[in-house]
Amino acid sequence: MPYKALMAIALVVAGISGTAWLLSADNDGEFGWLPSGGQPNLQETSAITGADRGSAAGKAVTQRPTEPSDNALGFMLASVAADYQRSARYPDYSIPLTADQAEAYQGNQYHPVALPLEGDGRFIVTLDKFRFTRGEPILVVASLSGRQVFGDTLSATLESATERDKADSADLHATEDSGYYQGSISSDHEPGEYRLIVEARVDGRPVRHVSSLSIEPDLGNFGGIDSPYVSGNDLVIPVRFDPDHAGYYALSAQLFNGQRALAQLSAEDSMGTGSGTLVLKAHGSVLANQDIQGQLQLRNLQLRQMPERPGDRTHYAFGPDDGYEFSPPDLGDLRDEPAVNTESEQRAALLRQLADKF
Amino acid sequence: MINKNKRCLSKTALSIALAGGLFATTAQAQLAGHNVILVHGFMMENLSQAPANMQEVKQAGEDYWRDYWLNRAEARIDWASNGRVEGTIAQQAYQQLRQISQQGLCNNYCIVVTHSTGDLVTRHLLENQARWLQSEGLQPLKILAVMDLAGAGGGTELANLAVSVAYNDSWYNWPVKQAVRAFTGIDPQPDNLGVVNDLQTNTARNLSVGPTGIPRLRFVGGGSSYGGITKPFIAGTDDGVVPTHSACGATTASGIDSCSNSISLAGKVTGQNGPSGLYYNHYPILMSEGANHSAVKDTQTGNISVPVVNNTVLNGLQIDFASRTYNQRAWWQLWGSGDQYVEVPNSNQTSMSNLLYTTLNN
Repeated sequence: MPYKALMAIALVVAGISGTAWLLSADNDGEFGWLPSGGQPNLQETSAITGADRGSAAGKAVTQRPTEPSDNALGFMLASVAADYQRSARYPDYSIPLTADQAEAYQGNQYHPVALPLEGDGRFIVTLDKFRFTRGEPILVVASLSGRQVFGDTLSATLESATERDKADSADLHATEDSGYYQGSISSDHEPGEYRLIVEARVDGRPVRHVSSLSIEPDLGNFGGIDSPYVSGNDLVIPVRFDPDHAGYYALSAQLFNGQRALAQLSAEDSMGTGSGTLVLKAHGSVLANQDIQGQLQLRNLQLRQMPERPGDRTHYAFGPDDGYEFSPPDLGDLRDEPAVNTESEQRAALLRQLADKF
Repeated sequence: MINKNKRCLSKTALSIALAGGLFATTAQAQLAGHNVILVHGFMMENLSQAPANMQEVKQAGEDYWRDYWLNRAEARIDWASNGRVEGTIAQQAYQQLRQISQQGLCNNYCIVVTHSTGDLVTRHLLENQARWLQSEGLQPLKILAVMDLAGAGGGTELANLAVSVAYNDSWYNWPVKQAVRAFTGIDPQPDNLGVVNDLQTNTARNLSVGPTGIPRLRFVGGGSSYGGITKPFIAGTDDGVVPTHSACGATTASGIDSCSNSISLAGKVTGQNGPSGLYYNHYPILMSEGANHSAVKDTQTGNISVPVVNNTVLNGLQIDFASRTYNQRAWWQLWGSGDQYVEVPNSNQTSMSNLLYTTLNN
C-alpha cells in the first residue's frame, strides 16, 4: 500500500512537471535525443540566421549557408545594402518595375474613400482618378450600405478648398445595382484643390462625405513621339510636348511590351513655350536579356510642371490614354551593364561599408 | 559555449545600448559617421493655435525630438502643421534646407530621420531641393538614406475622416468624431485642418510620389494611441495614427496587417495579409506590435522589435530563418511544436530608436 501511494505521488509530480515543461517558454517542442543538427539554443539566439530547423536535422552542418551576423538589425541593414547595390545599377532615368510598382507609378490613382455610418454602415465614394485636367467630366460613384434608410438621390458639390466657393453641383442617381449612385460633375473651373461633397439622406438626416481632388490647368499638347533610336547603351525615345507656359518640366512614362511593364522612364528639363521635346531613355540594364516580342508601348505618360519656388504647386498633365506604340529599332547592341550613376554608387558603397560591420 | 559567448556579447551590447539611452546628452550628432537631420511630424497644437513666428516653430520642433533624437542630430527641418506641404511648409522647410546647404552639413552625405508626416514633407523636399538650391547657386544636399519612423507618406484614414467630420453636423457618428478629435486635437472645420488635408490617403499618395534613388528605411509600430479609439477607423493594422500600409511604404492604401507576407507585427511566423508591393527603394526594417505612433521615436521600452525578413537571400546565400526563431508557447498550447516567432533578441529592453541609433553607431 505505501508503495502504491508513493507511485501515485510520483506519477502526479511527474505529470505536473511534465505539464510545466510543456508550458515552459524554454520548451522547444523537440525531444532531446532526436538529432538536432547542432542547432543553437533557440531561446537565446537571434531570429535571423541559420538553416531550417526541420530540414537541418537531415543535413550535414557543412551544407548550411554561412550564417550572417547575430545582430538582427545589422542583418537587415546588410540586406538593404545588398538590395540597394542591385538597384543602384539602374540609372535614375530608367528603372525596372514590378507589376505592383507599375500600377502605383502610373500616377493619378484614386483609392475609394469610406465614411463609417452608425452600425456597420458605410458611405463610399470612388472617382476614376485624383487629378482632372480642366474641362474633363468628373465621374462620381457612391455607395451606401447599412441598416439605415437612404434617399433615392445624392447630391454632389464641388467646392474650392482655399476659397470655399461652391464651384459646381450635380445629382447622383441610383443605378440598377442596389445601393450605388452615379453622376457627373464639371471640372471646368479655376485649377486648384477642390473638395467633393457628396450628401446623402440617412434615416432622414443629411450625411456629407467629403474628399479632395485636383483640377489641373491645361499645360499644353502632347505631339506624339519621334522615331526611337539606340544611342550608346540606351534606347532613346523623344516625346514631343508643346507647353503653353515656360517652366521646368518632368516627364515620366512606363515602357511596356504587351502586358509586361519593362521600366519606368523619366526625364526633366526647362522648356520654353511652343514646340518642345523631352527625351526618355531606356537603359540597356532594363532591356538587354529581355524577350521582347513585337511592338513596344509607352504608357501612362505624366508631365509635371515643377514648382519654381518652394510653396508653389506642382501642375500635372497626362498623355493619351492609349499611350504610344512603336516598333523598336534593333536592340541587339544593348548590354545588361550597370549604369554610371555616381551618387547612387557612392550611396551603395557607403551603405555597404556600414553593413560590413555586421 | 559559442552560444554562451554570443549571449554574453548580446547582453554587453544591450548594456551599451541602454547606457546610450541614459546618457543621451553626451551622444554624438551622427549616425555611422554621417550627420543627422530631423524632420518632425504633425503637431496638433498648431491647428488650435498657429505659431506666431518661425521662432515658435523652431521651439516646437526642438520639443518634439527632445525625448531621444534631439541631441543626436546636427540639424532639424521644422515646419508648422497649420500649413500645407506645397505651401508654407515647403517655404519654411526650404529656409532651413538652404542653411544646411550653406553650412555644408551634407557634403559627406547626411542621414535624414523623419517621424510621421515628416515622411511626406521630406518626400516633397527631396523631389525639389536640387533644383531650388541650384537656382540660388547652392549645393544640393547629398542624402545617404532616410529613416522613416512611423512614416505617414501614404496618408491615414483618420485624415480622410477629419475632412468629412468638418462638414457634418454635431449628431454624426460620435465614435468617429471622438477619434478625429483625438487625432487633430480640435473640432475640425473646413478651413482649420492644415497639413491634415495632405494626409488624406489620396492626396498623400498623389504628392511627389515618383521613384527615388534615395533609400527609405521604414520602422513600423503597431501599438495603440489615444486609448485605442482611433484603431477601428484605420485600414488594416496601425500604430494608432498611421496605417501599416503607409508606414511600410506599400504601393496601395488597401489595409494590410504587416510589412511582410509571412511574419506578423508581433513576429509570429505565419501567413499574413502583407503588402502586394512596396514603392521603389522602400525597405521595411523593423516592426513592433507594441510600439505606438510616438513610441517609435522616443524612449519607450518594453516592446519587441521584429526584423522584416522578406528577402532571405544575402550575398547569394539562401538564408532560412526558422532555425533561429524561438518557440513561444501560449499557456493553452499543451501539445504540438509551438508557434515560431522572429524577433530582435532583447529588443524589449530598449526603445526602437535607441536600437537603431546604437546599432548604426556600434
